[in-house]
Amino acid sequence: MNAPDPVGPTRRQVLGWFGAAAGAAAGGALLPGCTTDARHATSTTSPSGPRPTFPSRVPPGRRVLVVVELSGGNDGLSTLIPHDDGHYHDLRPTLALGADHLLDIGGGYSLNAALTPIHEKGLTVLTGIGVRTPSLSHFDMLARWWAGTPDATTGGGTGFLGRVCDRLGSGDHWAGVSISQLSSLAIVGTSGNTVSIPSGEPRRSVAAPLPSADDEFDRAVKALGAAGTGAGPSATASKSLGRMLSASDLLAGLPAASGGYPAETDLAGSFGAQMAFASQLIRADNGVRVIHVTMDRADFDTHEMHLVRHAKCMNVLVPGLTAFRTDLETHGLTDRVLIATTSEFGRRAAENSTGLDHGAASCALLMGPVKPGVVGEHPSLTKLDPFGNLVSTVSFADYYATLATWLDVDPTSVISGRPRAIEALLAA
Amino acid sequence: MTLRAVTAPLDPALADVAHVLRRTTFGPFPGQTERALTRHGSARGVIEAQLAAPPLPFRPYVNDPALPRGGAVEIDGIDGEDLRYYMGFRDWWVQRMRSDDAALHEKMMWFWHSHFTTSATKVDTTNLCWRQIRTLHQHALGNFAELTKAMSVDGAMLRYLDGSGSVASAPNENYARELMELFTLGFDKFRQADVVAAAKVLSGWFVYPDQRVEFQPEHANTTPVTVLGRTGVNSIDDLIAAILAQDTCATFVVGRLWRFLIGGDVDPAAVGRFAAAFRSSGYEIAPLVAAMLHSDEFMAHRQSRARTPIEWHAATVRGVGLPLTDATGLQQLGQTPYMPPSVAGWPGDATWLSPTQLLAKSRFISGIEFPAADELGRATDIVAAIVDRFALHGISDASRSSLRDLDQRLRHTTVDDRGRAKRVMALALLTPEFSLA
Repeated sequence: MNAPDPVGPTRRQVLGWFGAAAGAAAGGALLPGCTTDARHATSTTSPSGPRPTFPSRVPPGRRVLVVVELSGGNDGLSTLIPHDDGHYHDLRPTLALGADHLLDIGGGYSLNAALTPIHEKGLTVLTGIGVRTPSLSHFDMLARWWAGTPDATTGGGTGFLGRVCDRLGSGDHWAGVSISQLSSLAIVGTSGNTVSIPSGEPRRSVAAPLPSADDEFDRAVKALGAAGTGAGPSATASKSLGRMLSASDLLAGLPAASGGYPAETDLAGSFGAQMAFASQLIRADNGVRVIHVTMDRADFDTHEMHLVRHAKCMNVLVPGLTAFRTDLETHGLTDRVLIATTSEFGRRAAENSTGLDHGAASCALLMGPVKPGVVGEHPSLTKLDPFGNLVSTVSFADYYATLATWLDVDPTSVISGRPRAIEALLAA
Repeated sequence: MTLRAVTAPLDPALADVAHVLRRTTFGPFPGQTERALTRHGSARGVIEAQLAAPPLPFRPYVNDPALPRGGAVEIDGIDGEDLRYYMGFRDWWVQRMRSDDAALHEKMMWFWHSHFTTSATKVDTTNLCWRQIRTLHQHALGNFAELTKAMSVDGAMLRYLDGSGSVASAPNENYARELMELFTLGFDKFRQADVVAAAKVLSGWFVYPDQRVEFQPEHANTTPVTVLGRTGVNSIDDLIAAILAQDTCATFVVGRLWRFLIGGDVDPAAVGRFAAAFRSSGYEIAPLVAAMLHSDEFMAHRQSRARTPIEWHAATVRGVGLPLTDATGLQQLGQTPYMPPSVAGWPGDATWLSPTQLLAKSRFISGIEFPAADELGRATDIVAAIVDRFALHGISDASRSSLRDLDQRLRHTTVDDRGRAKRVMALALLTPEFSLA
C-alpha cells in the first residue's frame, strides 16, 4: 500500500539524543535498515549478520519486560512534537500544543512537557512506528498488536507476549502476567504459563473465615477444578478453576506494595496501583519475566476535545511511570527492567473540529536499559497516506524484535517475517 | 448409599425449562423453573410465554426525566452529582432484571445495550443514558432499521461516539465507522471513503448541557454523497437504507444474536437461514428471535456459552438471597451497565471463563453475605436444596459429587449449619454449570 516514496535529505528528519545541540544529530540515531529505500525492512529486504544483542551486564535470565498498553490510539504528534515545522501548525490550527506544553529537546522537536518527570529519569522515544498496511479500526489494529502480526490478524490465537513467555519456560511457573481487569489476548501463549490478574489483592475463601472449614472449601474448589476434561466451555470453566488457585498462590507470595504511587482517590490512582502491583511481581523474583499493563482508566481515543483529554491521559500515565521508576531505583532494579509502551495507532495528521480521528504511524516510549533520546525517522508531515495519515518509518515487528532481544528470545522464533531488533535502541 | 433417598430424581423437563430461562431471562431465580414448567407444560410452552410476555413498564429511575437537569456535570468521568444519579440509575436497571416478571423483552434490552454500546463515563449525564434505555425498551423486539435510526440520533450515543458537534465541513468519523464496523456490517465490509461520506451525512447534530438534542441544518451536509455504492445519500434514513441493503448486514446482526441466544460454534447454514428471513421481513426483530428460540439449534446448544457477569451476578444475588438492587461487585466482575471496556462492548467466553474471571468471582463471593444460608442450613439435604434453588437441574455427576463431598467433610468440622450451607452455596457458584448459560 505505502510504496516507498522518494525522499531527499531535505525532508528527512534525523533526530538527536536529548541534550544534543539543535540540528547536530546527524547520523547517530538513524535507524539501521530504515533509510528511505529500505522501509519496513521486515518485508522488503533480508537483513543479514549475527543477531544483535543488548550490551547489558544483567544476565538474560534476570531481565524483565514491562509493556504498557496505551489503548485508544495515542497521538504521536502530541507526544513528540515537531514544533518548528510549519506543516504541524497548518494541520493543527487549534490543536497544536502551545509553548507552555513543550519541552524543547533540540533539532526542532519537543517532548510533551507532561513527560518531563519520566524524561528526567531517562526516556527514549522511538518515532515513526506503525505498519505497512494500516487499518483505521481499533479492533483490527489492537488484534495485530496483540498478536504481533503487523499486516494481518493471524496470530493463531496467541499473542506476541504469550509466545515470548512460551520461550521463557514451561507451564510449571508463571512467566507472564497481564495486569488488566479482563483477560488480555496479548499474553496468551500455548504453554499456559501466563495469566491476567487485575490487582495484587490475595483471594480469601468466604466471609467470616473458619480455617478448618476454609481448608475444606479450598480442597473442594481444587477437586472441582481437577474434574474438567476434554474441550468445550464446561471443561474450560473447570480447568480455569485450577489455574485460578495457582494464580492465587502467586499472589499469596508477594512482598508488600511499595509506597510513593498516586493515591487511589487520584485520577492516576488506578494505573498507579497497577504499576505498584508490577513492582511486587518483579520484587517477588519468582520467575515472572513479562508484565503487560493495560491502562483501563485512560482512553487515548481523542476524537474530540483532544487537548483536554490527551492531557488527562498524560496525567494518568506519567505519575504512575514516575513512581514505578523511583520504586525500581530504590530496590536497585533499574537495569533489570525494560519498560516499553504500545498503542494500536496514532491519530489523523489534520484535526477535525476539536479532535483527531484514527490515524496510522505514532511513537513508542521506552525506559530503563536503553539510551535516552529519540530514535527513528520522523514521519513526513507533507507526504501523508491517501487518508491523511502519517506514513510509518519502522514496523512494530522490529520494535517487538527489540523487546524479544532484551529477554534473549530469538525474534524470529516469535514473530514471522524477518524482524530485526533496532540497533540504535540496543545501546546501553 | 442413601444418596438416592435424598436426591430428587432429575426431571429432564426441568433442565429444559432452566435452559430456556437462562437464555431468555437473567435467571432462573429460585422457584421460577418449577413454576414455569407447571404453568406452561413444556420448554416449548415456556418459550411461547416468553415471546408473549408483556414488557416491564418503563418508569423513571430517580427524578422526573421530563425535568431538563438530570445531573449534568462539567467534567469527564462520573462524579459529583451525576455519580449519585448514575448509581440510582444502575440500581434501577439491575432491579428490573432481577424481577420475577422480567422476561425476554427485558433480556433483549440488555442485548441491544451490549450491541449499541455506550459508556456513561463519556456521556457524562445519566439522564441521557436513561433516555437511551427508553429507546431500547421501545425497539427491543421491534424493527432493527428503526432502532438503528433512533440510536444514530440518540443523545447518549451522539455524545459517546462524538456525533454531537460534528459539522459537515470537518466531520468526526467516530460514529460513522463504528456504526458500520460494530453495529451493522462488521470489520472490512466497508471502505474508508464510506466512513468519510457517512460522517458527512451524520453531521449537524448537537447535544446541549441541558440535554436538548438538536439538528442544525446550517452545520449539516448539503451535497448528496455515495455510501457503499449507493449514490444520492443525503439523510440518515438514506444512509441506514444503504447499510441495510448490504448482504452482510443481516448475517452480522444474526451472528451477534446467535452468540447471545444460542451460543457455541456458529453454524453458518443456520445463520444464513435466519439472516435471509430477517432481511426479507424488513429487519423485524421479534420474528427473528422467535425463529431462533424455536430452532433445533437452540435446544441443542445447552450450556454452550458463559453466563456473562450481569447474568451470573443476577442469578447469584437472587440465589443467595441478597437485595434485588445489590450491584456491588459488578465492576470487579467486569460488567457494569453503561461501563463497557471499549466501544466493542464486553468480550466473550475466553474472558468470562478465564482464571482471571474465576479469581474475580472468588473474591466477590468471599465478600458477600448469604442470607439464604439460614433456610438452606435447615434442609435435610443441602445439596439437593441448592441444586433446586440455583436451577442446576442438569448438573454433572462430578460437580454434584464435589458439592456432596464438601457438605460431608464440613460436617466433621466445627462449622455450624449456616456456615456449611454458605460454603456449599459458594462452591455451587463456582461450578461449571452455574458459570454457563
